[in-house]
This record gives sequence, structure tokens and C-alpha cells, in this order.
Amino acid sequence: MNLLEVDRIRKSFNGHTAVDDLSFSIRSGEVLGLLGPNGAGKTTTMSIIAGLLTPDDGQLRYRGEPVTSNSPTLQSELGVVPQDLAIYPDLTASENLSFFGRLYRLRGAELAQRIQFALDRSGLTANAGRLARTFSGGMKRRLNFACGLLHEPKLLMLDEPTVGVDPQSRAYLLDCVRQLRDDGVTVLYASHYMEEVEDISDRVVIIDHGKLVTSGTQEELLGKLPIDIRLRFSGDISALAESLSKLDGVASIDSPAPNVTGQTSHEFTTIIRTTIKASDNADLSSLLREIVRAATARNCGVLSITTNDSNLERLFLELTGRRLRD
Amino acid sequence: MGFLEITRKDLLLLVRDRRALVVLLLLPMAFIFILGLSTGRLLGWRNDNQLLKLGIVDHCESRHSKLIIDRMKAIDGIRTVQVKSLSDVEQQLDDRNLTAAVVIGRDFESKVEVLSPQDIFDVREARMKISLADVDVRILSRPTAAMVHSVVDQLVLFCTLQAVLPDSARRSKVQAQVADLLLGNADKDEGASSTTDDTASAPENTTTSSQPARVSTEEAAQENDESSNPVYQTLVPAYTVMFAFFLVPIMGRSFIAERELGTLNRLRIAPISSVDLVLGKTIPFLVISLAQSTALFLFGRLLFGMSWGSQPWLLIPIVACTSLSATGMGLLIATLVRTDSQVSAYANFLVITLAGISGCFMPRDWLPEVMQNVSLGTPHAWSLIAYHEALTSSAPDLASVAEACGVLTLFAAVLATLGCWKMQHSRD
Repeated sequence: MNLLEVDRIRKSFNGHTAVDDLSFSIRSGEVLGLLGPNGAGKTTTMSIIAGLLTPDDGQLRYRGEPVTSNSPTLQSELGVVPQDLAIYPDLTASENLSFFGRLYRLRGAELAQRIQFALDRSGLTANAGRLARTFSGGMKRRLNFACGLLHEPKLLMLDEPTVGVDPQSRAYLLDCVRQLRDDGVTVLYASHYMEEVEDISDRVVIIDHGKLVTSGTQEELLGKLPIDIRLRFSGDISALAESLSKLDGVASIDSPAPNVTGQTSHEFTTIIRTTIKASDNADLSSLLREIVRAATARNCGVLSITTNDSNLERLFLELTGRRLRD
Repeated sequence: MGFLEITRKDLLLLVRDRRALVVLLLLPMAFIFILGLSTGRLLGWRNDNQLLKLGIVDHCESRHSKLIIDRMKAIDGIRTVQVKSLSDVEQQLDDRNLTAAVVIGRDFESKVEVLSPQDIFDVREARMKISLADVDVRILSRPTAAMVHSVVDQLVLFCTLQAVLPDSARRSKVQAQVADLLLGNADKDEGASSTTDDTASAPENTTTSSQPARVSTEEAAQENDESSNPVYQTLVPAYTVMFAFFLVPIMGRSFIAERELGTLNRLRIAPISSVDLVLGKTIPFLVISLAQSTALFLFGRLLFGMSWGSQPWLLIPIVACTSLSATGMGLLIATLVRTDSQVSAYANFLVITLAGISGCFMPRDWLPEVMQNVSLGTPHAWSLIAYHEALTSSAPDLASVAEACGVLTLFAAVLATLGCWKMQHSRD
């Protein structure tokens, strides 16, 4: 069941279109990765969902109901961990949590219990009484995170939560997200770090220039990627390249380049671009055998054959011609 | 009731923000303290440098010359110094130890003994006929102090008339009633000086009965509280009003901080209404403003012995309405400024300019009429008008205070409405 549906939303600022006819949905209990380079429109999309911005066009539906401005159900069930820190440096960790908890009408024992839960989850229990301004960057990030999940949100949106965070805090935050998913919380996780999105997402929505590029599970998306084969060999390069290009499943071959780090001057490396999808293991095995056979027939020595990993970075590059971190 | 949570949080932050406390409380106290020291009294201490130092050479040493000297000694703002000789007084004038000097000649007593009311007043022309030279009294001052010379001349002439007129009138029974009227005796003891020779002839009673008439309700209000110093009746409200509006930049900074910290978005996302948000962000500053004004008036009362006027309760609505309008202005400015630099540039400029044109830096009476009228476009001016009425009048005009409070409330309503509107329309 879809918890949230984003239907053809559009948002422009001073003539610049930040979000352009974007549609996707989030299923209840899943982690949806919203992947895109900086400036792709991730934060604008999340701001629209949070009610901070009004879309120029399109609509949102939460639990099947259209979302109007400041929809009470969405407001009370939504938790947000913004990209920039959103905590009060002159309040202690406990005071920050208590304040935001009270805004969500938590009181008394329930509030105290939720504060303790959030402190435990974010690993800040020992520092609960310290002013936030005295925290390290990672601790501030964790407090920022804790404030967002204090009221047990049904839908938690995290916007680049690990930017500028040390590896230890990053691992802590990602663990927290996994635990929340295990607890049944629906998570929308926006990032330009494809490793994080790959790591924790059930499904991925890739956007660029405010538009949807593609969406689906990682298997679905990466399965569509053609495989590249990196071949290191020695011998007569021109004869081998010609015969390889005629093999079934080969789309193109890069001009072999001398292997400058090789021990002899007769070593070369080339990339063979195939039409074989990552999901087609049988075709790939067959092609690899043909490559070895062709090399042997031309008296070329095969030094190594590697296939490029299929990942979201490659997928984005394939679909947009750009790198995620451009 | 989300606004209560925001209010509580902001009050906590304000209390922890020493910069805000310094600007809102310590700075106005320091201003009042320093200006009070230089112009008035602190805990009964008197700054003699502000007094007119008047040297007196009494060659006559008669009953009437002593009366004149006593009267001058009794005048607030004058310090008299008895000097033996004319050369001494001239030397002290040259040395700038004295502001001016009064020389009572040897013929003074003989001249005043023969004075009749007709010698003093020109009834047909309705003016004074007599001058100090006619009774052998001279005023000495430095050549550059012409204005001081004129003021002292008039002052000494007045004291002289107060001293000699009762006797002169007694000698001319026909004029006695006129003299009593002029000297203000009619209200206290009608006909006493004209009908009872015993009373009139007693020097002590003569002195008492010839106190100047009350000329205004303001003087009366000040006389009600002998320990009060009128300087603070102006100084404390002026700086209270001025610094009440220093809330504007602090409020602006609070909103900017909320925006820059990203917490404003958290507040907007939370299940609270925009009314809660505006109220929650505004009430703490209203509370601080009320506390600030209360503290400053207590400060003025305890340290400088200022009077709270004949009806102190009037200060409550004035303080409240002033704080409301300051908070309203703060809300509007907070929604307009986007950066700390804009607060420094625009909000501080606005606050200081409005304080300047409204009469916070100097008494409103000193402002040109055009400026006084222009300043009515500022809440500061209405606040000052109300404070002036409440603090300096023996019977404050309640309608006038109510009008000023009404205008201040109107300012607050208009400014706050504009602020809310701007906040609502700046979401995207």
C-alpha cells in the first residue's frame, strides 16, 4: 500500500524549474532512496512534502487522501531530518528534544520515555545535559536526527543526513535508519551518496534537473545496465580488436591503450562494451569464452578479464551522461 | 497551545543570551545612571557643578538685604557664596569660580524703606517700573555671559520685590490687597496681611506669607514629592521608551537565528498553527519588554528617587501599550530583514532615528513645533506624551493618557498585522 504519492508536482523559483513534473510513491514500511546530484531537486521535493513549499502544480496524497496545506494527519505523522542542522545550540540535548517533543503534544512520562529513546538511539545519553553548541559535528547531526524521530513518525524524511559527518557517526545514523525500517517506519532517504542509498534502500528514485530519471528496486534498475568488460592482453592488438568487434553481444570496443604500468611494452588494455544486461549471466559466460577463444586464435595472451560492477553511479552515468557528484 | 512551548523556549534562550540582557537592561540603566549623574542627583548626592554659583557682597547688611540673600539661597539650582569685598568677587569672577555676583550697596536699605507700590509698578502701563539700580543693587558677570547676567538680574529683582513689597504695601494700605494677590497670599489667608499688622510685621511670617504662587500643576506635582528630581521624570521615561524599541533588532535577530538554524522550518513542519508560531515568537519579547520597563522605573525610583506621579497606576497601561507597539514593530521588522547585517543597518537605524525625532534624546518641549507634529507618526512620541502627563501633572488628564494608549495599541495592531501578513506570504 502506498503511504505517500507524489503526483506530477512542479515548482519553479524565479523562472528556474526546480522540480518538473515529478511523480513517485512510497510504500508503507519501505526505505525509498531519493538519489540525485546536488541541485537535482531533492530538497525542494522534500520541502513540498513537508508543507514548507507549495507546489505550482500537481498534488500529494497521504494515505490516499489529498494533502492540503498543513494537513494535520501528515503533520503529526511526519518526521523530518533536514540537510542543515535544525537544533538550538544554546539548549542542551535534552532541552532540544523536550521542546520538539512538546510541539508534538508529548507530555509527562511519555515525553520522558521518548526523549530517553531518542537519546539512546542517537548515542547521546551520556551528553544529554550538555549544550548542543559544545557538541562535535557528528554529535550535532545525531541530535538533529533524534529530534526528527522523537514523536514516533510514521514517515521519516532524511535529507542528506550524513553530509559532513565522520565515518563513525555516519555508520551510527545508517544503523538507526535500518532499525527504524525494522520497526516499520517508512523512510524517504535523500542523498547524493549512492553507496548509502544502495546500502539501505528497498527502492530507488533517481532524479536530475527536477525530473524523474528512473525508479525501481536496485535489482530492477541495475539489471538493465549493459555489462562492460575490461580486457588486459598482450600481442597483436589490431587483429584482435577486429575479431572481438564481430562477436555476438559486443556493442563497441574502445581503442586498446598501452598498459603504461605493464612490465613489457606489448601489454594493452581495452574496454569491451556489451549489449548483455547484468541479469543475463548465461550470455555473459558465453561471451567471455568467445573472447578467450578469439585471443588464443590471434596468438594474444589474455592477462586479465574483469567486469565492471553494476551500481547506481554507473546507472546514473548511463542515463544522464553525468556523474552523481558532478 | 504550541505557542506556550515556543514562548518558554525563547524566554530560556533570551535569559541565556547575555547580549540581549545587556542591551535591554544594563544599557538603559547605564544611560540613565550616567546622564542622571551629570544632570541631577543620585541617592541624594547633588552635582554642584550644575548649579549657578552666585557671589554676594552685602555692603548694607540690613534686614531686607538678608531676606534677599535667604530667598536666593532657597532657590533650587543656585549656590550662593558670601564674599566680603568687591575686589574679591571680581577676582573670583575672573577665576571662573563664580558664574555671576550680586552687590548690594550701602544705600539699599534707605532706598527700599521709602519705596511705595507706585514706585514699583506702573499700573497704567501694567509693567514694572523699578530696576535693581534704583535700590543700589548691581549684578556683575563676565562680559561673555550676557544671558546669565540677564537671568540673574531678573532673579534678584524678583527676590528683592518679594522681600520689600510686603513692607511697601503695608505703608500704602490702598495697595495691600494688590500686593497680596501678587504674592499669592489671598488663597492662604485672605486679607491677613492687609488687616493684621502683627502678622505682617513678623519677619518669619512675612517670609512664609510671601512664598511665590503656584503657577502650574507640574510644579505642584513635583512639590508633592520633595525627594524627587524632575530630571528623572524626563530621563527615565525617555530612555525606557527608547530602549523598549531596542527590542526590534533583538527580535529581528531572533527570527533570523531561527531561520539560519533551520529550526524555523522545524516549527513550520510541526503540528502547530501559524498563529501559534507568531504568538510564540512574539510573547517572549513582550514579556521581556514589560520586565525591562518595570525594572527601569524601579531603578529610577530606588536609585534616583524619581516620582511615579500622583497616580502611579497610570504607568501600567502606558508601559503595556508601549511594549505592545514595540513588539508589533519588532514582528514586522523581523519578517522584513533577512540577515544580521540588515538588522544592524536597518533596524538599528530605524530605532535610533525614531527615538531622535520623537523626543527621547531631549524633552519634547524643546523640539520645534514641526518636529513635534511629525513625531506623532511614531509610537515613541505617544508613549512620551502619556508618560509626561502621568509623571509630571498633579492631576493627570486621563483622557489624554487614554488617547495616547489607544494610539499605541493601534500602532501595535497595524504593525503586528503587517508582520503576520508578511510572514504568511514569505513561505515560498
